[in-house]
Amino acid sequence: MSTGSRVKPYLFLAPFLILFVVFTVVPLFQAVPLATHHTFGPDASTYVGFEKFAQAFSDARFWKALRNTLVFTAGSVFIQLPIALGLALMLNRKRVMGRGVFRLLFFSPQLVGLVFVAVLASVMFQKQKGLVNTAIAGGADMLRSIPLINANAWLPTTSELLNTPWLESLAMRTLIISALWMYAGFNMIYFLAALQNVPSELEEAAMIDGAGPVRRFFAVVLPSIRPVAVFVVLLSIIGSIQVFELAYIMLPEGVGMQDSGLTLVTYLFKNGFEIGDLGYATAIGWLIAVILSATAITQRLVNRQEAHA
Amino acid sequence: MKFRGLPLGYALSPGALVMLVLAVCSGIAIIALDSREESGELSMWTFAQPHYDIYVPEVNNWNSSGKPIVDMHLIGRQVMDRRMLGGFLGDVPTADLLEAERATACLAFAGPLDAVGFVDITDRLEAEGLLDAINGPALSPWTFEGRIFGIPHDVHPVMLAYRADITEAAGIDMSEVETWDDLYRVLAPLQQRTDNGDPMDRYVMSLWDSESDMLETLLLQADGGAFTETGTLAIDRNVNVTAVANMVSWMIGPNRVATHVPEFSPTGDQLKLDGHALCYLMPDWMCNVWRRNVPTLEGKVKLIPLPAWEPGGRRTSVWGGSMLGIARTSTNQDTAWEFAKHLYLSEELALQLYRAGDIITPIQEHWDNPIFNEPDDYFGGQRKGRMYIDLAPDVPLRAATPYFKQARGAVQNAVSRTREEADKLSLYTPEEIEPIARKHLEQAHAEVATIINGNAFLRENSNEGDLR
Repeated sequence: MSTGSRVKPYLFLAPFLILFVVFTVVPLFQAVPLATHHTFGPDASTYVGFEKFAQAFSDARFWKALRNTLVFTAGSVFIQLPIALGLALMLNRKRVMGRGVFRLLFFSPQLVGLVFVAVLASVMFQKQKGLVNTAIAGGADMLRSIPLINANAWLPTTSELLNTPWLESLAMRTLIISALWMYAGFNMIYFLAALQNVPSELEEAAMIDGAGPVRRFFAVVLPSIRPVAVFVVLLSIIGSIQVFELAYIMLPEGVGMQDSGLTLVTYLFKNGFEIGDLGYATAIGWLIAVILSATAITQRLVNRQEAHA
Repeated sequence: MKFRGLPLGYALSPGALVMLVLAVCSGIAIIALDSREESGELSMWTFAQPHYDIYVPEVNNWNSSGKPIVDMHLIGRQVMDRRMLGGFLGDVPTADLLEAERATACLAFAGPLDAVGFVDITDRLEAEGLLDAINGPALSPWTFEGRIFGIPHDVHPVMLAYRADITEAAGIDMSEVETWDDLYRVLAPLQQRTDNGDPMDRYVMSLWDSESDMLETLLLQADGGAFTETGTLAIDRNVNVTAVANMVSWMIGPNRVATHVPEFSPTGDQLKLDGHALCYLMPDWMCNVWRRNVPTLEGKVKLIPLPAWEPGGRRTSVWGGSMLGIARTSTNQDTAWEFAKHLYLSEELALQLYRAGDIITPIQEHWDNPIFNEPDDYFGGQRKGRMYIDLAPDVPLRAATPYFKQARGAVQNAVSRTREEADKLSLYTPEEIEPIARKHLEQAHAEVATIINGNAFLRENSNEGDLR
């Protein structure tokens, strides 16, 4: 192999590598001293050791942010992904009319973008005049008009329903629902692509052997789409731990009332860019990096064990 | 096209080549055109479209007078936050002049005094006799450790707006309202609850625990607030406990008088039109927001000074505020100072601020202008400008602290927790609510003290003494 041939691959990789080094590797190394200093501009800096990390562990808001982020992640994995898979299974059936239209409809939030969805959702979840509360109150009024069920006895009043504080106190629920709207269609596309690669002869053979739909799903379909499912779960976990824009745009002050929607990255952002405490923000960033790395490594280990088994 | 003659030619498609050429050309153009320092131009950033529109004639006047050209840019408030703080922290150039809102400008005070990104203008103000010309309280949010870092844009006194069409139809005389208790007593007959069979909910006051600005406004009116005038954290002081207990008592229970009408939202505008709340906190700038967003209320709204917490107490407060500062990295600080005076101290600008933005100037010598005595049709023909000016000297002082947003958020959370707990326990009077309010305010105080203690530069200033 000539020298030119050996160098060429690296030259092709060079544009990415240069950007990666300049914008990722160098800041990563710079973040080590930054997390151990309290700084304000280049002229004001004082060494504080690991105080910023200790501050995080004794900071109730950090733990609240971590808990909220884990709740959001659980919502993504245990609510959003099953729904995405369900939609994909539904649209994978050849008998469904207008599959293309439904596919587009479910995927359409991705076409308009996260900011648009977040702004629209924040209007829909407003108190008093928001679509969600108005619809719930309207539904409640319909129930009240049915004499047999005595809805007045167990339903909240119209005033209470119209004042349901989705964006203020129920922030995590609101974020999970909004993320569902945003990402279910996106994940559905992954599942749909995987489902279309499930060998039909396997399903047919299982059917001939008398397997019902549930048995076929768990014995044939799920193992066949497992690599894609694992990938989607990993992406969802990583994306959920990094959730920021949705909360920042939708919630009052980006965190909701009593920090009900405060997430880890929002907290990092607020410390770095609203308080100017880059040291603390960097320490939080390192902790997020540790969590993400641990998640990825754990998932890899589990996969390897299952593959060996 | 064939590129085999070029090194790596087979990898460079025409598209990649076009992108490469564009990148090189635009890079060269950016470098070549960025010659501001050489030309001696001044740049200025402002964050509000109305401000920008008002300044354009003054900037044009300045630019046509043969002085260094001022290049004014309108940028979003959040963009201003990031770029200003990024510039100050990274020591990279920002604009020479920065017009910043309080939440933005105070970020500059998170370090030691000599690291503040704005130029200290105290000596200039003193030397030119401007300290006495500017309304005192308007300077306080820009005064850090005794030094002044910005010329105030406004005073922003607060009055109480009420739906005069509804109160007058009911024969209610608002002139007898002196305190908050008076207000709720006088307007109680106009309250409505759908649960009682009324066609719609109607409450006396627009105030809710999710509106941190409103809570801060009322705490400041009560001589409370998260910080003392000197910037010492004091969330858990008695005056705050009492005020919070009172505010929460307005929001809950069978005698609830407050409701949530969000500002700056179509939902809130519709609720205003519906008369969901009768009274609203109204800083001078908010008059303009209402004029634009709910024009059909013209003639149906009137103003009175804020009801006091106690008889004889303060009848106003303050909400919002912005200033013009000179960046420390500016290479034209003297020219920037001259322009800042030209812009902010001119009578024409003061009048334009009022005409176009309903904003009272902090420059006291302009307060005698007859424009402030003109009746305002939107507010039922009241001489609104004069009413605000009469209250301006009594506006409470505010400390310049980078942590006021965190403190304001912590107070808001404390009020919210207090409301939830008191409601759950069915405790509705201020006296019953006070212990709960104290507990949550103490918790909020501790949270913010932790944040401040994390700042190695300001650590010694936090949590000084017992202010209770």
